[in-house]
Amino acid sequence: MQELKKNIKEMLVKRLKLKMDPDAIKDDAPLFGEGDNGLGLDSIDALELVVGIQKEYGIVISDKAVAEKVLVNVNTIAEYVKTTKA
Amino acid sequence: MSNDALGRLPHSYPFRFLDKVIEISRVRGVAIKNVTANEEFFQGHFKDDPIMPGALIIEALAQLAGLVMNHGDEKATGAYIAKVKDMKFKTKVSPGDTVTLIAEAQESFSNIAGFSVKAVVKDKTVAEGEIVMGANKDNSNVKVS
Repeated sequence: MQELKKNIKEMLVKRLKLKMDPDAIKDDAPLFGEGDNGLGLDSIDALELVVGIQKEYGIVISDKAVAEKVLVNVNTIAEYVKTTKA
Repeated sequence: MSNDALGRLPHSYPFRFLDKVIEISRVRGVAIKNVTANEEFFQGHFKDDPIMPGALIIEALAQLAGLVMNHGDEKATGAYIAKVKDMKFKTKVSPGDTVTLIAEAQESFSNIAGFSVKAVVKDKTVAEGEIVMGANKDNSNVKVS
């Protein structure tokens, strides 16, 4: 699981061109919004993220309701990837 | 079909950069822009060296991408540029050029869709890149190619 989370963080930094070290992203840091430790992503970034998850893990997220539950933080993405691929 | 498609374009003079739509579907659009010597922008870009601004080539491609995005949905209204990626301008576009604009839908999510775009003059690519468009409506049914 730790390896998967590390991989997700690297994917986030690479695809969204984040100017930060992947290790600096906390597992529970909110992806969207400007809260404490949040990454401050927006809806345009959400498209990049959905494409990134599709390319990296072969998982297609097309349902908005699913996306709202999955694209919360690194923990939720990792959990979804793990259960979907299992 | 092409006239109907152009009729749905909300842009009007002097900010309409499509003259004719050749092909339109939910995944791909092809249109023509005839660049004439009396385009307003040539008065200043540049006075002695008329070149179509790259930003306006992006605009033309985005207008086409917007038509593709809203094609087949009568209720759909606007489509707006959300992001421009890796745009490259290879050759100058000058008065007298007929530019063929091509927009192909790539990935989409919610009301955001990515397009691979290209502008061609006489079989030569003059500009290419990617444009992400945002619509007023949920566009998740754009087919992912």
